[in-house]
Amino acid sequence: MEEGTLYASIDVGRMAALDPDDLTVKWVFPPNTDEGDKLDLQGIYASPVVDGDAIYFGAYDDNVYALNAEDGSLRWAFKTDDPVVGSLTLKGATLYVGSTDGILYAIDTAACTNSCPLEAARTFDTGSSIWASPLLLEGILYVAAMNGRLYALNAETLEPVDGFSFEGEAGLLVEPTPANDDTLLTGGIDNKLYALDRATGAQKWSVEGSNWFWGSPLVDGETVYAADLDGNVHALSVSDGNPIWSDAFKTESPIRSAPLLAGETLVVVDRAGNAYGLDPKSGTQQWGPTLLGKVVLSDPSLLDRSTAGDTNSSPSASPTDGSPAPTGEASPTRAAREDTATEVLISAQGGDLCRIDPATGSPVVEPPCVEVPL
Amino acid sequence: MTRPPASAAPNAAASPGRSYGNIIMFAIIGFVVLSVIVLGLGRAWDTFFIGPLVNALVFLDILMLGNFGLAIILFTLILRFATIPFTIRQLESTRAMQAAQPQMQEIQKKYKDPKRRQEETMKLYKEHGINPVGCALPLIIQMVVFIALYRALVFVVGGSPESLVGLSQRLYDIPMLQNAIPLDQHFLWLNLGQPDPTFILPLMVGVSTYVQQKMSMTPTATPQMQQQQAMMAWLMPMMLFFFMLNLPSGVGVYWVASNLFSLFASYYVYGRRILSWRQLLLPGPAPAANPEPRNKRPEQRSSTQAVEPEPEEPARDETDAAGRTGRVRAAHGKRRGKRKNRR
Repeated sequence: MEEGTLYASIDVGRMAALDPDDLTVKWVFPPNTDEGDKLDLQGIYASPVVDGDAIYFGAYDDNVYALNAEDGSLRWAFKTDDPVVGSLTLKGATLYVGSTDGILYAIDTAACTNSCPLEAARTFDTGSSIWASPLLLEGILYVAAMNGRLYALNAETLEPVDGFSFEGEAGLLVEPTPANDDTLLTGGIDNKLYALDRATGAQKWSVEGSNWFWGSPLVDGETVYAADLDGNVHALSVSDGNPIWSDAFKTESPIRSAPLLAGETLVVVDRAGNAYGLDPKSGTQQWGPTLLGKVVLSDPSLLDRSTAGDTNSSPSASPTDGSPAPTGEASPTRAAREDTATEVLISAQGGDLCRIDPATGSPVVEPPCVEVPL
Repeated sequence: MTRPPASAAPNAAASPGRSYGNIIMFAIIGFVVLSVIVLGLGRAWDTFFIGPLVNALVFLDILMLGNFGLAIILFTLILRFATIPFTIRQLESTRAMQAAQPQMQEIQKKYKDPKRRQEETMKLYKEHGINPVGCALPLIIQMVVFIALYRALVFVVGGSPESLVGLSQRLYDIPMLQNAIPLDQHFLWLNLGQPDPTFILPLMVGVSTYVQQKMSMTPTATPQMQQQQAMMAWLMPMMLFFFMLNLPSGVGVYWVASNLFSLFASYYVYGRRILSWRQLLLPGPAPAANPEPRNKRPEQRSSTQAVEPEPEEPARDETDAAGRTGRVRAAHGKRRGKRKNRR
């Protein structure tokens, strides 16, 4: 959401600007023109980043696109060697992009006008594949790679930070997430969620789930909420990783999306489109499952109409699975208690947008998921 | 080098190897049916086909040092070698069916009652050791693997978040396998998780399927059947060509490798059987130049050969009766066969 406009990927591989009140389309990219028909983005898995009059996002066709936020016209495209599935991170005029070609690109957007040559980017090659969004914290860029390594790079030079080292037992899928001032969370294919020292990468604790961790963990005060791909939702202590709930909450299918805290309700949505409302303190089920009837991989977002325009994140839509990306440096704790939330917006596979009331779990509209009219 | 006349093909029931083959075949079918009843079709399919296939492919990728294209080819070879008894049996049945064509035509002419005709046909099948089910099984296995491989490839090299979530549900909890994820999708000019935009691979699939079909076509009893067979020889490759335009290239790599294996298997069973361009384009089965298995040693031949020494003429007569001109008398070797084929 940015200045009264909701940016979401709709259909398959199309970015749209929507009116948050009635979800009518202001513009769509690629446009419904002959020129637009020639573009096939194949899917947008990364949430867009909005910066003033520009909007940036990565696509499955290997490109990073920059559009005019006003009318959705193309400013430039930057080609990587493989699909971009993680969200982007912007700091000043530098756009940080992790591609599945294994390279972290730092694109100087000021050097890109009608086109964006490879020379406009500095690069760091992990020699593997990058699926998670990079995290920028106090001038250090944290990049999780599928070789199991978490890299800490100087954001200016992309040189590895001295004294930082971490390697998991398998690929890292969880985007690095700050848990507090000196702790980072990440995890992945080895079924583990790791808490690391931000300065050195030393492991503070790890928790083993019954399947991979992928969705971004949610940190609220001293509690971390994280879901694994077996559909288990865990509540853990930030300090030592000990479970806070007596048992993990089990959903019917894998959870790829991040949990969301809406008022006094923890909202989780599994892949099969079952939405649940949980008590964040005990993990007991407050409502649900609300059946969305759609495959959901993307993170749910809060749509607070009373404060529309005050947040920098944009919900992602089908077939996205990226989480909202910060437009600047991340705050130490990204979790926020939204006491004034009015509805949860979930983008489903196929391009539908689903809206539910986080207090009761009931759909805001019937049916809960509607196709955005183009 | 001579071989027993096709009409003297060993009876399937008399061979212990074939009995074991039948037992294995029925055991497989029984296991599949039972698992479908117990687990349901979707879960059984996932547990016994997709899951093991996904993990086997990842394991072979590790063996091939991360080259997934080679892993698919290795997988194809392993699978084809594992099912070679069925394949050989199918080819032998096909060969026996070729030999039985004159008698089948006789039956068609002689018996107008369908029931009697059916009985006589089955009797003939038994005499010649032809097992229609045995003919179909390798094809069924091929198709099942084809479909399963398509599903497995979507998970293994699909490259999208949806695929990776699917993979997480099927990859065994073994660190070695987990460490191999994600697999490199690139092989030669192909992205194994995506269709080939150059059309080269779909063409290779179509052409190799066509040649393989021509090599294994059997003579038919009636011109109508021959026409149908000729149509199928074109239809199947065309269908596969169009399917491959939308299927992951990894499936095409499997199919081409599998067809090449079949060509070698045909060569092994039938001996040299060279197709000219003219024969490839014309309807009808390919000529059998030398039905003697290339590496079949004299002592390996069926004991029936001693009892029924091969008459040379009947072999030619049989083919003549089937309306073929390109058949070669078994005793006359390869040079004669080549010369005939060139005509």
